[in-house]
Amino acid sequence: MQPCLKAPQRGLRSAAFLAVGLLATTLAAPAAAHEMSPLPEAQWTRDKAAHLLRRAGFGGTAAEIDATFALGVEKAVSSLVDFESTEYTPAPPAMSPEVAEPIDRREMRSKDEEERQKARMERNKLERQALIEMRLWWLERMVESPRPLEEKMTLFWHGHFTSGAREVQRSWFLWEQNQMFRNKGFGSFRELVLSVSRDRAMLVYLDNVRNHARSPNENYARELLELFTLGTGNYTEADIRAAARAFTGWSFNESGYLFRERDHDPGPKKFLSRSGNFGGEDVIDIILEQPACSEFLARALLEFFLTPDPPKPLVRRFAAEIRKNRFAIKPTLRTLFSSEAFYDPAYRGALIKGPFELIVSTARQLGVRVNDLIGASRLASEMGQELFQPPNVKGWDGGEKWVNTATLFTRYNTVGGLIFGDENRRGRFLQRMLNDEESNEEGAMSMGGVSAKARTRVNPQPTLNVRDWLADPELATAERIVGHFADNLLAVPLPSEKRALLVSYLEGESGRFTPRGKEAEQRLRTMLHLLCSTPEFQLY
Amino acid sequence: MSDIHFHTTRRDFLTGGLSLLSAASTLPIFLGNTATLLAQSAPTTGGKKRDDASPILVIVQLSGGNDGLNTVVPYGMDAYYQYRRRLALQQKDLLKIADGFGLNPAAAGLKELFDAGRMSIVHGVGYPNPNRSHFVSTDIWHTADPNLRQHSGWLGRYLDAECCGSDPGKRDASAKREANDAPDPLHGIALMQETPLAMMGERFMPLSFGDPDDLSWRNPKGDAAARETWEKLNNIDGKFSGLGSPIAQFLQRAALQAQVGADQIKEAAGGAVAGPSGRRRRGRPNGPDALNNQLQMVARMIAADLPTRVYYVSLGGFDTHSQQMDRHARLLTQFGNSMRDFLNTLQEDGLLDRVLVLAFSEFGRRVQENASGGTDHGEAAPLFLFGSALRPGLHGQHPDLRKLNRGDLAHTVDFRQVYAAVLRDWLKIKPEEVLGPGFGPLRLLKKSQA
Repeated sequence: MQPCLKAPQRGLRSAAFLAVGLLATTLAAPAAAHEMSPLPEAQWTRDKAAHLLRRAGFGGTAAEIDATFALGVEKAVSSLVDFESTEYTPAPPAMSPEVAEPIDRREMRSKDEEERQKARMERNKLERQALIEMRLWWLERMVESPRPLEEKMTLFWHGHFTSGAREVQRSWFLWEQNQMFRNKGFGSFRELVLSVSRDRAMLVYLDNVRNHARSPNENYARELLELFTLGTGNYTEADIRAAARAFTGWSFNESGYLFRERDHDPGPKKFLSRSGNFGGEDVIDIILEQPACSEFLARALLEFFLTPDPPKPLVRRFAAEIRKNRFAIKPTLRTLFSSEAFYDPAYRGALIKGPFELIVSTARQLGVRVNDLIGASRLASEMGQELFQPPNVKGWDGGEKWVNTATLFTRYNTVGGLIFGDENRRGRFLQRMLNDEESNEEGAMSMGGVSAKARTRVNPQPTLNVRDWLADPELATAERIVGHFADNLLAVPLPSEKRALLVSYLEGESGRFTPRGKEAEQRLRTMLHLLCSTPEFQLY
Repeated sequence: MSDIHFHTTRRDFLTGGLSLLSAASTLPIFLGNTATLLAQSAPTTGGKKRDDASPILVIVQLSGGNDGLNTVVPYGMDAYYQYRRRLALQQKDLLKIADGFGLNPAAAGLKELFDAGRMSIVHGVGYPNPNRSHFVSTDIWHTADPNLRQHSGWLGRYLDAECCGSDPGKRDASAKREANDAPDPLHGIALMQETPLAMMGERFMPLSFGDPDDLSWRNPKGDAAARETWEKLNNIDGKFSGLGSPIAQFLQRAALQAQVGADQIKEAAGGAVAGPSGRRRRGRPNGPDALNNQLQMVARMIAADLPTRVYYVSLGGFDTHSQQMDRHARLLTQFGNSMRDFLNTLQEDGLLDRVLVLAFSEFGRRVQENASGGTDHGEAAPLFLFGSALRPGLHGQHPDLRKLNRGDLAHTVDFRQVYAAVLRDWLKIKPEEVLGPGFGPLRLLKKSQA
């Protein structure tokens, strides 16, 4: 499956790593690593197609990799980036319509204490259920959407412009925000920042609703500069205070964003060396004029899509492309996914899969449905990622932080659940749900999280069907089977010693694998689980 | 690194594996910690104790809202009997602990601890503008912030500061990539599936598992050949540690560490209880032994000298909206007996002086009983502390039942004053670092600062 010319190169690289350890990363990175020029079609390989599918989506089956490879690089990138032409309109999450309604404070006041308390609890319950539905809805989309980049990018913006349910307390606002990321996430970055600044979830999450002309609240202004657009070192505390004043009066009512002119400070401000009677929109425009802004966005995109530590020259060149594209996100992504740098072997498998990337890509690569959405969503949360609840305003740290002793086992066992499905029933998924049901009856609380009572999506997890593979004459020997899956499932080459271990597991004591019968199916599934229970499989 | 001698009973591979690791030019901190851990602890029983007997905090969360009035009964207040026609406990049945106060007769375990001077009760603990949602109020106790402006938990912030120094300037993008000062997750262990918010720091993430068996690679058929293959694939021999990119090397080492760490935790926690079929018996999460099992596991981990500073356990079922009497009694029996047995075990191991326990619930219950023989969500409630370092007895002022706040007990002590005491006098950290300014610590410990 792998083109032959790759092999010596790879051998060289690992030898270099062994010899000089960490230095090897920088030394081994060839000059091409910083080039934003398009990858020549002649250099397009099946490996690169698989890389594109993983990074600009959630990976694909062997057949999908073949199809993407057959398109050539330009069309392959287009097939992911120009997703609007692919129809996909899943039903919205099953949320109670009541959560769209504002909490009527006047009506609440008219009630006596007992009724008020009851109404409040009733509402909390609806909010929690809506949130669960939203989580399941999004997870299902990620697994099934024929437009994976749309989902991936929405996940990126969610981690970049964070808002969390615990703080926002209105599931509807988070739903609006998610729609906003979908609608604006591929257009102009300026429009996106503007929409985020007017987004109700954000207005609550970072306190801009409390940012009054008479008593400015700096929270939103600070994070806008520090975490959303410029990064530390590119502004002063005085700039934060000026920006906060510019955003006074940005608020909302029951129908959406509202500019409260009487609560806005129209006075003169000095912001990033400019002076004027700035409002919030002016502040955003001035931010976008800063060279630091394009570099900040470039770095954030590269960290998410390419490498956890992008080299400075690459950041600078990509930032130049962003400016050239006038901060339009879609052409920026096209440039990135088409570039020589994007396909540099140094970046192959340079990222650690996040919990959702792990679940979704495993399902998509193996071509298995995720029926037990509740179970999967809970496991993601055990692995450290809960949708609509980033840990803090920085979003998910990601990278090495995803992996510790507890989460590594959860990762391995989660993938096992996808492969074995209900065969693993007594082991995991259902047992946990039964426990939940029992404790829910008692009214007991699950810690920190939300125990789902809305059980609309509890379906048995299917067992992975492996018969087609066993019947494939191309996969007649244990070596070929292991080779096929190692090449298609992993982002990095599997050491030959590990291949041999898998082959010998598949062959068993008899020393010969016979691809027939129930036992062969079970062996193949276990081999797949082993392959996915490796450090290599965590890379992406 | 080279001077560290490894005490390990695990297979020889370990020495080989770790020495290969130590050749790496930069060693992620968790591995350094693992090595230290291996060096410091004898994973078998007993063994030597660490020189610095650093204090250990155990949190017991009573989830659902414990009915404080029927736990520590103010029999001296007439109003109690007026509001609780069906649920009131009669003075003659109570386990008297002070003038006017008696424990629920089901809480004999607590009474023993109280009489032995190993328990403190803080009356009337709550916070301003109480929230009666389980979720919101739990978050408030976890973040120590009634306005929910904090995104991290109070213990997480303590562990942040403890492990890496509290540097508020550490928030920039470059800091988040410094794997080298990532705090060791072993410093906080939560015996639950989902990590409690209380233990999540800005940087610290605890180890959470419902059962040490969760730290195992599962294969449905218990296939021994598969298991052996898995161990080798996961670098059990240490031979893959230097292979591939730095991030790949990190993962190879993490896989080795996970196996060593899991074994160590499992060994420390007493291993799996295998049923006749070899399958793990999983107790019901809210079964009658749930809390006892968790606490005994904590006792074993403490005895095994893990470097853990904070343990977190929980008992659910306190949301007694109906038919409260018997259910609440069963819960208090379990709570009391589990605490008594836990402290006894610690004493037998000579570890009682190192451990302080704080038990809280997200709120108390309404003073007026409801029509279903239960009580609804309320506000202030007593909080419990256990250990030998306490100033035992009753602390604070019991809320006045004649001056209710929306039908609830008004708090007389802010829970953050209790946290402040634990932080300052037990964990030896300035409370402001964790809680911000303004919360005067109660004098709860013998060595409290005046």
